[in-house]
Amino acid sequence: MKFDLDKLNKVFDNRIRVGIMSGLMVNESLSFNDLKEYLSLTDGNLASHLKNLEESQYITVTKGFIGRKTNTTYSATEEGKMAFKQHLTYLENLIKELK
Amino acid sequence: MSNKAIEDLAQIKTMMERSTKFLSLSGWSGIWVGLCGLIASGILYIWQTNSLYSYQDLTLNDPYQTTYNAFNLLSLALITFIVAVTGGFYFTIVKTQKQGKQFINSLTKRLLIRFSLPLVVGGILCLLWYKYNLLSFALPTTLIFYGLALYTVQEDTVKEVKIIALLQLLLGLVSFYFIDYTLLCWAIGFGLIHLLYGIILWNKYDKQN
Repeated sequence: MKFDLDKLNKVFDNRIRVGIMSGLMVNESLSFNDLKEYLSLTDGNLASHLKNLEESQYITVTKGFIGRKTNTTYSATEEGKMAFKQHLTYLENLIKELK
Repeated sequence: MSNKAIEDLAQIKTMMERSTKFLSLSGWSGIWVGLCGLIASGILYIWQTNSLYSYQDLTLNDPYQTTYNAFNLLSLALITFIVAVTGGFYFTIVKTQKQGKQFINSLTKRLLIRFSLPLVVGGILCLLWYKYNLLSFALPTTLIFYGLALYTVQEDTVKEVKIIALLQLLLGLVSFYFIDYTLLCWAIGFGLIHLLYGIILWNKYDKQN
């Protein structure tokens, strides 16, 4: 898979988006409330970053219900996972250069 | 730029841990459960040395004796379980709230479901031992199934849990073999080990707060 490195860097330039992706790398899916709690964010702030990741096609959204309450869950796409790994390699290289 | 990379990686690690592991287990929970275990073992020991309530007699085929002792034993087991679990949860929930986190989330729900299954199976098995008048197998059984329950959730919480799990399993098997020393093994497993690990956990995670 070929990567648009500009897009990748732009998406992962933000700590919150990196945080969301970190969670989704190690969990099959996470709900909106889980993410909100783990990252200690407000609804609006989290929603805008999720929107950004969704538009970059790094995550998918599943809307469901638990009883009557809506339960929206998010999962990383294959593209998102590969992009995140790419970003990790990029960070590692930056650290190696320092040494 | 490189410093930012190090911070980013640290944050990624924290987020991965926080979303997969329940790390707010309180040392006080361990200490509480340990004390409950020691008190229950003490009561059992008194019953055992008192010929009227001899624990060994439970395996004999005397219906009156068996029901009477089994009723005491079951009450003690239930009360100990409820008091230990309530206190254990209490200290851990207080710690979670102090950290500004919710206790119930999808992670803890998964953990509790995983943890309960071996315990329920073990509990049913203990009732079956009673049905066959083999109640002396009940204590070793609780050790083994509690060990299995802990082993099941080792990935979901602090790493010390794995060591406790293995110790409980070992003690369970030993007490099945040396059936006369069952109570001693049980007191070590549920009492001493919890108490020690509670102190170790407290020292490692709670002390600085």
